[in-house]
Amino acid sequence: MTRAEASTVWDPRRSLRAKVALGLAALGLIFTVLMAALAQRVYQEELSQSAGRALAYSAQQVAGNLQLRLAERLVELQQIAARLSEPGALDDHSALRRGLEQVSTGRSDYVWLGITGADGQVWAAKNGMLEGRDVRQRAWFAAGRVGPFVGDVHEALLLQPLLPPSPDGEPYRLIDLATPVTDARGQLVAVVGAHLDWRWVEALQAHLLSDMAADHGMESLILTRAGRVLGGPASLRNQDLSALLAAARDNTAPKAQRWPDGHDYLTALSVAPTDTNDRAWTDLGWHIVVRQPLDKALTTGTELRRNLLLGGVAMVLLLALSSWRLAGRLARPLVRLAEVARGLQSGDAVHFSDVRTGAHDEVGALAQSLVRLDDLRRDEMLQRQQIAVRYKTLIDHSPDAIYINEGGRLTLINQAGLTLFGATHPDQLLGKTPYDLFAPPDHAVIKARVHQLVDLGNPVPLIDQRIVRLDGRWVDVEVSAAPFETGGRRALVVLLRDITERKQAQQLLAQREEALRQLNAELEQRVQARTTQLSTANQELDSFAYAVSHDLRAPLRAINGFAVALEEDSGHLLDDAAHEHLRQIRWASQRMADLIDGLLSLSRTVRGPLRHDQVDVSRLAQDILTELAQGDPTATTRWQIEPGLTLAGDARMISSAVGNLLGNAWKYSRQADAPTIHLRSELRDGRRWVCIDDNGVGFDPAHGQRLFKPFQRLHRQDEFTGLGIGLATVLRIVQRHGGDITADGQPGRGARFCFTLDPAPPQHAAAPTPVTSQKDAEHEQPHPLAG
Amino acid sequence: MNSRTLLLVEDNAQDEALMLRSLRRTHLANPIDVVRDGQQAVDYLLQQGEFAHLAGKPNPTVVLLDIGLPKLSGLEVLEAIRSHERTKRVPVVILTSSDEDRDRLRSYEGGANSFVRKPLDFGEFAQTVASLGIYWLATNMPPED
Repeated sequence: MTRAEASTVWDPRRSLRAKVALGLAALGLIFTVLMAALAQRVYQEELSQSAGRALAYSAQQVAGNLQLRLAERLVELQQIAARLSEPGALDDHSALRRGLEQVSTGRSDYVWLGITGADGQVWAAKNGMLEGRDVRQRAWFAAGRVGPFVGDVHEALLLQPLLPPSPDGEPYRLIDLATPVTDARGQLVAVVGAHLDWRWVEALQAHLLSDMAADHGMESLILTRAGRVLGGPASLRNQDLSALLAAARDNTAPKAQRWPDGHDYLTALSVAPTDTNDRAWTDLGWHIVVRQPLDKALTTGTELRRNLLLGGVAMVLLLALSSWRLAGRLARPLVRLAEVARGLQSGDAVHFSDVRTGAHDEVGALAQSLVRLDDLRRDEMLQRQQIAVRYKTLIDHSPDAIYINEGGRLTLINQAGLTLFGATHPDQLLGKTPYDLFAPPDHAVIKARVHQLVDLGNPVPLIDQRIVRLDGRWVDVEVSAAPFETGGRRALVVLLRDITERKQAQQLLAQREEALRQLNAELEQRVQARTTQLSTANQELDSFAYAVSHDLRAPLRAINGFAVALEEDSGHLLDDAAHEHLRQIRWASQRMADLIDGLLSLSRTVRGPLRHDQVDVSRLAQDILTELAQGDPTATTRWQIEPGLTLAGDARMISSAVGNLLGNAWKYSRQADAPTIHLRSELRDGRRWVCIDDNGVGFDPAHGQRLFKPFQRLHRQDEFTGLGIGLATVLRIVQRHGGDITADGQPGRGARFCFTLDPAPPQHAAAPTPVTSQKDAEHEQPHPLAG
Repeated sequence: MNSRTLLLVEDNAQDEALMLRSLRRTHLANPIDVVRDGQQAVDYLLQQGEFAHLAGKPNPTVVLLDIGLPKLSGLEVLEAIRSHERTKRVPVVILTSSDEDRDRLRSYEGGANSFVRKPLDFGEFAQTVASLGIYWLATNMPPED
C-alpha cells in the first residue's frame, strides 16, 4: 500500500482507535443483551410467581367478597324471617308487603322479595308480584323450608313476564335465596324468598377487582361447579371451561395457561373455601377464576428488559465514545510514530524523538525503542551510505566499464560503461541482455560463459570480445566477469576494458614486426652481401699486403743490393760525395722496407678471428721490459709493475699492444734522468684500465689526436726513430676488443697511456677516437714503432 | 762433389744476380742452376719438358725456392716435389721476401726443410745466402748420394 492510499482511504479495520471503540462497544452490547436477557429471565420467574400470587389473592378476594355479600343477603332474609317469627307478624299480608317494599327500597338487586306460607302460597311480595301464586314446586321453597338456602343462578321463569325489561335486553338471570320462618315452637310458619338479579353479582364481581388490577388486564370469571362460565367477560359467557378448570384444580398454584382464545393467560383459581361452614356457599359450588394476559402480567419484566437494553445501549454508546476518545489518545502517539515511520520511509527529515509521548508507559517505551532503533538504523544507513559512496565512487571513476547483470539483464552501469556504449543515460541500456550488448559472433562463447558463471558459479578467464555500441559500431573489449549472490539469486559483475588502442597497437606492432622482419631479412641479405664484399676485400687486402711484402721489398732489396755492389765493385772510383749518396740510397731503401713492414704489421694485428684468452699482463710486461733491457744494455730505465694484473682478450693482440706501449715508454724515457716506467691498473667508469706512465719527453696534447694515426709522428726521425705505426696498432687492437684508449701528456713531463678492453657503459658512449688531455706545455712527441 | 748442384728458383733477375754474387763469394764450386718460374722448377726437378734431357742426372743437393713465382707458386712447386718419389727427399729451402706466418706454416707443412726471409740489407742478404750455400752444399748431409 502506498502512502497516498494510506492517507486518503480511512479503513476502520486499520484503525486501532476504531477497533478498540467498536470492540468495546460490541462487548458492552453483548454484555448488556445477555444481562438483560438474564435479568428478564430471573425477574420474570419471580414476576410470574408474584403475579400468580396476586391473581390468586384477587381470586380469593373476589370469591370471599361474593361469599360475604351473598351471606349478607341471606342474613338479611334471616333477619326478616326473625322479625316475622314474632306472633302475629304474619297476619296482615298488606303490612308484610309494605315491610318488604320498605326493606327493598333502593335495592335494585332484589328482583323479587316475598313471603310464602308454609304451604307454598305467596302471601306478600315486593310490588305484589306473584302474590297468591303457589310456589310449592320451586326448589328454593323446598330448600327454604328446611334452612337458609342459596340457589344457583337460573333464568327467570315466573317472574320474567312481570319484570321490567332488563337494561341489556337479556333475560333476567336470578339467584334464589330462601330461609324458613319459624314460630316460637320452632314450627315452620312461612318461608322468606328472594331472587337476586345476576347483574348484581356481576357488578359486584367487576367491582371486586381493583382498578389497578383491571388496568393490568386482570379479569375474573365465575364458573359453575361443572366449569361453565357464569360471569365474566361477555365473550366467555356460558362457555365450557371444564378442561381448564380441571387442570387448575389439579394444581392450584397459579400458572400460565392456554385459553380457548389461543392466548396465554396467567391463571389463578379460587375454589370454594373448604374451611367454611357456610353451607349455602358450599352448595353453590362456584369457582372464581382470575386471569391476566401473560404479556401484561409480565409487562414489567419486558419493560425491565427494555430499560436494561436501553440503559445498556446508552452505556455502550458512552463506553464506545469514551473508548474512542481514550483509544484516540492512546493511538495518537502511535499514529504519530507511524507518520514518522512513513516519513522516514519516504525520506523526510523527521525523527522518532520528535514524537512527544510524554509518558513512561508502553507507548513511551515503544517510542524510545524506536528512537534507539532509528538511531541504530541511521548509523547503519550512514555506514552503508559511506560504503555505498565509496563503492559508487570506485565504480563511477573506474576507467573501465562496469555493469551488473541480474537475471540475464543489465541493471546497473557506470559512467565509463555509458561512454563505452555511446549512451547518455542508463535507461538506454537497462534491461538489455548480453546478446544485445555483444557482437553476434561472440554469442556462443557468451552463452557458455554465462552458464559457467550463473549456473555453476565457476570463474571464467579474461577474454577479448566485441561489444555493439548504440550506434551499431563494434568495439574491441577485454571482458572479465564474476558471479555474486544478491537477493538469493546469482548475478554477474562484468568489467569491460576498451582495448581498441591495444588492438590497433597490436596490429601496428604486427605490421612493424613484419616490416622489421623484412628489414631484418634485407639487412641479413645486405650483411651477407657486405660480409661477402668484406671478405673479398679482406682477401684482396691480404693479397695486397702479400704483394706489398713481396713485391715492394724486392726492388728495394735490389736498390740496396746494387748500391752495395756498386760500392764494393767500384768504390775506388767514387769520391766521398758519391759514397755518401750510395749510403743515402741504402738508408732510404731500408727505411722504405721498415715502413712496409710496419704497414703489414698494422694490417696483420687486427686480421683474423678474435681469440678469448686470459692474459697475465703483469708477467707479460715483465717479460717485455726485461727483453727491452737486454736489447738496450746501456739504458738505466727502472720499472714498476702492479702484480697479478690480468686481462681477458686475444693474447697475441694484447701482447702487441702492451709491447708497443712499453716500447714507446722505454724509447721516450730512455734519455731522462732516472727513467722510470709504471704499469698499473685503475678503475674508471666501472671499467678496468691498464695505464703505462713514463717520465720521458712527453708530448704536446695539441697534437694528441695525431698520435693514433698511422705514420703520424711528433718527433723527427733523428730525435727518435720510428715508423709512427705503434699507437695506431694499439688503438686498433683496443677498438677491436670494444675498449678505449686515452693519452695524457705534456712536453718534458712524460706521457701516460691508459687502455681498457671493457666495453663502454651505455651512458658513456665509446669515443670513436682516443682521448687525449692536457698535461703541460709544448713538446714534440713521437710515436714510432715499439722496440 | 762437383756433381752436387744447387737449384735456385727465382723469378726476380735482380735478386738472382745478387744471390749469385753472394754465392760466388763463398767460393763454392758447386754448379748452380737457375730456373725463373714454378713450372720450370717442376720440369727441372722431374726432368721433364724442356728439362727432359737431364734424365738420369741426380737430384740437386738443395733447392732455394722463392714463393712468389709466376705460373706455379713456390708452395705448389714444393707440393709437386714432395709428391714424387724421386724428389720427395730433396732438401728445399724457402727463400722469400714474405714474413707472413701463413707462408711459413704452409711451407713447413708442405715439407720445406727451412724457411728463410730475404733480408733487405744487402750485407745481411749476402751473408744469409752465403751461409745457406755453405750449410746446404758443404755441411748438410743430403739424404742420397
